[in-house]
Amino acid sequence: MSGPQAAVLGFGQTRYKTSRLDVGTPELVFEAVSRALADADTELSEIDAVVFASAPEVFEGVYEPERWCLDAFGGVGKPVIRVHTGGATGGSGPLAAARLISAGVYETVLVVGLQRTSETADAQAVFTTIFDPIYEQDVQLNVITGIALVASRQMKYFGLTEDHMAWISVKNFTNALRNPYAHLQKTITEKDVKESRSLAHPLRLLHTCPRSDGSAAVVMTTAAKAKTKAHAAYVKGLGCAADVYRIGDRLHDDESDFAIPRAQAWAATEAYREAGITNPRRELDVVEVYAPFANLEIAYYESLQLAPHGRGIELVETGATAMDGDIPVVPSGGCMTANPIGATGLVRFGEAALQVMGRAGDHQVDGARLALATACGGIDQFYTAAVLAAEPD
Amino acid sequence: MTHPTTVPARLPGEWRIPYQYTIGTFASAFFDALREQRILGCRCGQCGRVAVPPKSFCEFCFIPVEELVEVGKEGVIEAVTVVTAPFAGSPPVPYAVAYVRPDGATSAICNYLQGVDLDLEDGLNEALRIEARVKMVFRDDPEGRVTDFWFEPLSPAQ
Amino acid sequence: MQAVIAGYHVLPPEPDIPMALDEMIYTATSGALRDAGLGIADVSGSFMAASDLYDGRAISTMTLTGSTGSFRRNEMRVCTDSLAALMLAVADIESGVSDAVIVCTWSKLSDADRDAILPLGLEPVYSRGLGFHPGVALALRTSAEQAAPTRLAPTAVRSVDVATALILTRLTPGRRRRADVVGIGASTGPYLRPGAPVLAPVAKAAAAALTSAGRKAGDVSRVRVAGMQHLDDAPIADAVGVPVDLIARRPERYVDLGYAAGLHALLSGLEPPDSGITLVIAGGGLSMETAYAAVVETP
Repeated sequence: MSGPQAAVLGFGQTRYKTSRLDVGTPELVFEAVSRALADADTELSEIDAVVFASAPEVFEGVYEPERWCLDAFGGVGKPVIRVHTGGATGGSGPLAAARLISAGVYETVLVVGLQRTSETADAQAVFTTIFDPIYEQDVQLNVITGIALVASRQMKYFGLTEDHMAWISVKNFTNALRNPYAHLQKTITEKDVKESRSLAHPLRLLHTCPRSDGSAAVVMTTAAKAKTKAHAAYVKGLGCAADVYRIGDRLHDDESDFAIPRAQAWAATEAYREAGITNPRRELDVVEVYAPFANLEIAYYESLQLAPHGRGIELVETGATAMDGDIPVVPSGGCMTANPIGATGLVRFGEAALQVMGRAGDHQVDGARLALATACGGIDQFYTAAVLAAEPD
Repeated sequence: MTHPTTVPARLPGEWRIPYQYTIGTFASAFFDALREQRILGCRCGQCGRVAVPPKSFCEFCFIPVEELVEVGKEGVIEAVTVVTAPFAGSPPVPYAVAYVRPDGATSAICNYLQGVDLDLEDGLNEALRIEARVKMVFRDDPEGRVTDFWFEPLSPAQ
Repeated sequence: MQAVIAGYHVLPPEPDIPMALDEMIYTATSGALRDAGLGIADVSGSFMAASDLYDGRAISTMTLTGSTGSFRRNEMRVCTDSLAALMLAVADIESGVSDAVIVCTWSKLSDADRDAILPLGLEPVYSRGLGFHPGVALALRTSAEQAAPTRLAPTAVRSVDVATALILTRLTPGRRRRADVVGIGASTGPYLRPGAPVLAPVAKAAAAALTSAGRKAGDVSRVRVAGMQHLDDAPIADAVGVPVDLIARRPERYVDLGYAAGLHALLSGLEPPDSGITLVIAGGGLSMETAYAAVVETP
């Protein structure tokens, strides 16, 4: 890469809840943006452009919701681009901003994420429209059954058990108790998880993410400008990759298995290469992975090269990814405790930035200098990966 | 191998997704006040702008707004258009829509302008002039929606 | 700034292109690669512009990944005019991250009902519930700007199908070079609220694109206009700062190309190629909130 390195100055987010009844949509965005600007010690007038990350607008029920929210992020008179890659949207936003900064097109870019999943009572009605209207919509495939397919292969070929999944859920809920913004804040036990309502075997209610309303924002700029500010995180590497749509075309071949999402591996490999990381397991200090289901988090351990192929369960059995382990994963509680879809990837990115800035408060991982954030869209189809560091290149 | 059929088919589909829009406390206060035939705005503590309808932040100062204020039930037209193009679900044409700045407010709110002769063959009706004064008229049976009120000219129109 | 358009392909706007959407897009992207003398292995990503509502499905690009050339590659999708997708592609090339990428866009309104979509662009709290014609938004802003009432008369806007793609590359000796993108810019105006000049975003986007190209309005030989069906040539020319005879629009003005409008207008200037410097400007939104611009030079 030839241009200026990108950096993150600050992060703002809203308390995630099923429904923020007290605010209209632009007001929700205002909360996150004003917090991000304050955290970044940046004025609106310093923002040169805005990338707005918001996934299917059928959730908000408004076409082009970024227009409606313009005033809430100071968009009038500025370039505004909306990106949308399903669940990966919040990861695509910072990626687009970073490239604009490195290309010298804009110096300081505000990235805003938004999702109101509560405006329509029936999220599944929205989700059925993501599937191929020609062949699959009549079959009523949905997200949960798609991920259950992943789990079924993990159980058959890679040693996954309900015990492993329950451990992940308990880990993440416990972490969320130390994150004041998390949606779900309660103490659960592995017994609670194994007795929770079955959704699609082997997935249970406490293995999955909530539906959350929320907004998040980050301020990004050049590394040179970042050095003049009180704190910053530096973007060392970025990756993005998409897989084919048809699950039937990617269940299994010589090189990959649906149980180990390969597009996440492609995206992470690209980010690691740009960041000069050769041994992620040893070099990374913390991982904010976008994993809305317990079994997916374990699968991602393998995609992200934190565990050998098919051996993600080892990190569970050794406790390596717990807060007191050597590679904590989602100290924020992750998607399983808050999932404002289009914003979620941005929350992962913002949380990773907080970690390397040493500003993650009660869920800070001691001495974190190098972090990975990911985002996932579709049925394990789109992926982004970002490596953030405490120091500039 | 035969080529696929050259008579491409179409499959019907429809999105039927009901919504319950979350409007927030400021907008809720606005609609509550409409039921009482009052118009509410909000005042920014820093710049003093009075926005109608109210929202919880001032976009000029970019700070939260704390104060709801009542504004006048009369105002001036800042923009107006007469619609002769039909559209599904819209009122029968012709109809007029206007942005009106209520007395005491620094912004304008949009709604139908009724009680005006919209036959424009002989030129524009005085009541449709920019800066013409209008009053808010309220429904007898309010529903807590923006259609609970509309504008009418202050002086009787032809 | 200099990113090269090595090749392109256009499925011209038709009332009904009898292909499935992914087939339309694949025709455009594969055609563009062929025109550029490149294969899919030569590109590292695909930048696209599409609308879920126009496409009739949420996350429409999900099922279209293969046709956009995104499999195993970077996929970036915008929900604004396609010149914004071009802007992000230019950033990828200029930042040194990519050597060659696909930029593609489409609209298949023959599958959808445009009139059912437009009102959804009105925010639901104060505006949509009034149920007026969506064109009222722009008519009121114009009224405020002219300080006079306006009339919103029936104007038939045709729905069409269209798909386009281009291959954007670094300047590389020996590789095909149809045109260069030398400048990009964008701006946004207020949403629905009257008071500011309607064409302010257009003026600002055009100026930003020209500045990034190191050019002035006086250097421009032609201005290709995309979208903005309800605005006339003269005010657009004024906003950009050029004589009105430089404005070039589609022969049929009242046609909705959706987000494909900008890229289609740009590519219209390549066959036959415009000479000199072309400014492409795409405006959109119910109250003309957005404007994106690109400056193109043919070598």
